[in-house]
Amino acid sequence: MNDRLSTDLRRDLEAWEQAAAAQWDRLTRSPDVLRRLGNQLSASLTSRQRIDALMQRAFLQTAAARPSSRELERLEQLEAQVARLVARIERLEDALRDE
Amino acid sequence: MNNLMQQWGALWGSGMARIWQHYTQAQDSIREQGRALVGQTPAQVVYTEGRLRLLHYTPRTPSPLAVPLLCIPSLINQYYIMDLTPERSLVGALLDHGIDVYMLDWGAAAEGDRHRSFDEYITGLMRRAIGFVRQHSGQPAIALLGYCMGGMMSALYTALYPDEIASLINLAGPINYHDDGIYSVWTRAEWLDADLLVDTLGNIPGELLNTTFNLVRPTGIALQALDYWERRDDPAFLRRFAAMQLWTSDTSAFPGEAFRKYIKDCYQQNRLIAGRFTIHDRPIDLRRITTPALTIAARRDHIAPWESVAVFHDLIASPDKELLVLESGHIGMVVGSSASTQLWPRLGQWLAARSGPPRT
Repeated sequence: MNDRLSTDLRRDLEAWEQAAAAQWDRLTRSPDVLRRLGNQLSASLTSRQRIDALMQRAFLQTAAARPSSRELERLEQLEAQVARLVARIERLEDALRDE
Repeated sequence: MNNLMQQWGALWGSGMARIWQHYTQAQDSIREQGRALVGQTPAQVVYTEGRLRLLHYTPRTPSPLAVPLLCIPSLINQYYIMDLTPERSLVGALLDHGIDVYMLDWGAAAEGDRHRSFDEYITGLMRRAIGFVRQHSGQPAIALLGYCMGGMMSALYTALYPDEIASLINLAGPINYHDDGIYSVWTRAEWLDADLLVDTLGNIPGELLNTTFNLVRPTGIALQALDYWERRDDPAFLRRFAAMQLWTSDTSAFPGEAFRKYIKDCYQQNRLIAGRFTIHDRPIDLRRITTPALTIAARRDHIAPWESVAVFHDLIASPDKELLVLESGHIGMVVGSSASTQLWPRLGQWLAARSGPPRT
């Protein structure tokens, strides 16, 4: 791009930018536009709050439905106790048979 | 609007497309170059608290002046705007005037900062940092320079703890929030529900704040691209450009609760100027400030309109007070091409005259 073209482009671009910025400024100060944008922002924030709450509830329910590590540990202890009892009964039965 | 779109189409066809492509492709490397340029003035980190850091710059004169200066940036902008590049450094200019300079770097707010109140930033973090500077320098009272939101925070601090502040500089810190500035319009309670925003997002993300800042004048980026194209072989320009590009994209999140109070009490209810702003329920009356004060506003400031800054000068009761209105913008006043002739020397002279004798 030669200097002449760049000079012309700058002049045109500056003029365009000023006009566009002025129009943008008017638009973004308009109460109607701001009210509409504000409502949309509030609506999306409220939706996000609901989604977050749903996710949290779902997570808590899943967590509640899943046995906790403490419960798993107790189950394992019971299982071991039952196995010990079974072994003891078998030993007693063997002893009775021998008598 | 259609006419503007047609004009843009013509500009695009007459070379803007190539310029735009060149600019967007260079974005990452521009910011990378900027990272190596900013905040280069030699300093030591002398105090930390969480992400907050307190920097103490190496003096440039054998005997710096007795009263140290602490610079307070905005909560959301990087401190290095005041030390942008070695050539564009307000800090450097103040050091050249013999000032002993400290800088508060708030650090990037994290999730844990969401519940930290605006009041706690003043009476907690700021107070402890100022206490450290007083102890470190051995001076009972120090000079405070607050830029942008930091100017407003420094004014609050001076009203709360006048004995700790020897002089105050409010650099483009808004005091009146009901003006025709674009942020005053955008943050009105009629369309901005600050409670909903904070309750949903917690901290307000830096990216969201950046998008908002860019929306003030989105068309300006086209001129930036052309500037970059035209001066791509000018090393001095490229250094400034890269540092500024980095700074403008390096916005921190606004801590949630602090945002809530700042927007509602300042922008929506304009409590500060009315004397109804409180810190931990204590009303702040700026009219009772008697500390020597310099208020600096910029006539083309679209972030903190100059009248909304200058009102601080009118409000306070300081017998020694001065108002300086510069012909520049909010950021240009500190790092623009005229900063080294308009702002730095006048600020340096004002401070030097109120910073006591050189230390022996």
